[in-house]
Amino acid sequence: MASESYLYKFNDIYDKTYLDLLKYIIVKCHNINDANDIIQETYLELWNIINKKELSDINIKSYLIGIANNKIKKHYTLLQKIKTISIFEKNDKDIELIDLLEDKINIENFIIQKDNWITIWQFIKSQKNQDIPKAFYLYYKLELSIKEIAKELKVSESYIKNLIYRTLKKLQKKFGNGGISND
Amino acid sequence: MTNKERLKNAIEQDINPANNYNEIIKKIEKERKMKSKNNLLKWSLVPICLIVFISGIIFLNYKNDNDNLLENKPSIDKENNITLNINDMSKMDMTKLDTDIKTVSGVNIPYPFKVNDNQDEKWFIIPSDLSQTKNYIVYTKKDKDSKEYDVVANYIMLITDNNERNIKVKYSKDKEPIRDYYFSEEDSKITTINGIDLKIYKYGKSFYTIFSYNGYNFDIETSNITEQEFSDYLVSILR
Repeated sequence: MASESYLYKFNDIYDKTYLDLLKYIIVKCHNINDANDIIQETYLELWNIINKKELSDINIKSYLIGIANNKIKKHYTLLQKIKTISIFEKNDKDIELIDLLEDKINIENFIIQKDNWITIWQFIKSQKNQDIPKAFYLYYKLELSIKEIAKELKVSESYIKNLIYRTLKKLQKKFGNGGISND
Repeated sequence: MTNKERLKNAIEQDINPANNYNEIIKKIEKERKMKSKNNLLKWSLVPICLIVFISGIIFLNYKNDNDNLLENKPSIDKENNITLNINDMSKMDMTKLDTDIKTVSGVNIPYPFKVNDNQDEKWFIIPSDLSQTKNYIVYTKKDKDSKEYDVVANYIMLITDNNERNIKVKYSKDKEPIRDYYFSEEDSKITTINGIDLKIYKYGKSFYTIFSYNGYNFDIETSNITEQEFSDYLVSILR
């Protein structure tokens, strides 16, 4: 087993920093499917560091974000980065109507009857535009506002509304016919 | 449960702090095991290298000892009545002597060996490339004051390839052939060929032997002749 004292310290840091670090990684990663790997690699490096030196006088959250940043850079080759560049329109030209919607998009207004929401989440994650699962994670899991999500992803609020609204419509079309997928 | 809660649950199942924590701990343990394996390997290399080093030294010493043993160990051929002992001359003290002699070449000299009555060409076993035989007579003075070299000291039969390989047979009837060096023969091991005792020495790529046979005293020196060639030659002349 790992050394008890280091493990205690590590657990404490993990509990205090996990959510913030995960949010940072989700926002910065090129594919949300890599988030688990990157967060594990980040904490693994932290473990190796706290076994070698004392980290008492540093801002551990900033320190972890620095490690995570390096891990994200190392995780993607240039080719992978090029492949994951979104071709989705990020300006507001075609989303004026959506922009008129309220900030609070109610998922309950969409008739999605499929029980297996894990499949639905996998479908969301599989979207080529990875801003979609990121926005869904930040909106439905972390319960950030549209404004906060737009700030995190450095895009407009309209763009985020558009992503969520259009994706929910797609989910309704795909999974809303009595739980049977249209595939 | 609302759709929102269902989606939230699905996301939590996928990106889960407990699952990630367990994976991290697994990786930590895996790394720790790898490190301890590597450390074990790293630290085991030290004694392994030491063992290899010591074994190498022991082996080399053993080999050297064994080489000496092989040189000194009698090679026994009961069928041909041979007990071969070769003394290592490099371990002996040698003294260079000044000799006042005159050597005359191209002369007839007595033949010291027993002749094959059947005229068998393979009577003497000489390496085939040693195709030339040259004869010499070595003369000395009667005394220091004498100016004439008129005393026959010994004969020389030089069997050679006219290059680097040769067998030089020096022989004399009443006394030992003249040598221009001295070394103590004390404690030298004896070789026996067909009941004849010889002292055989090795120095670098040369062999040297002293023996008496057929009424002559012999000194035979070789240059670039192998041990096998030398022993074959000796066996063939000492019949």
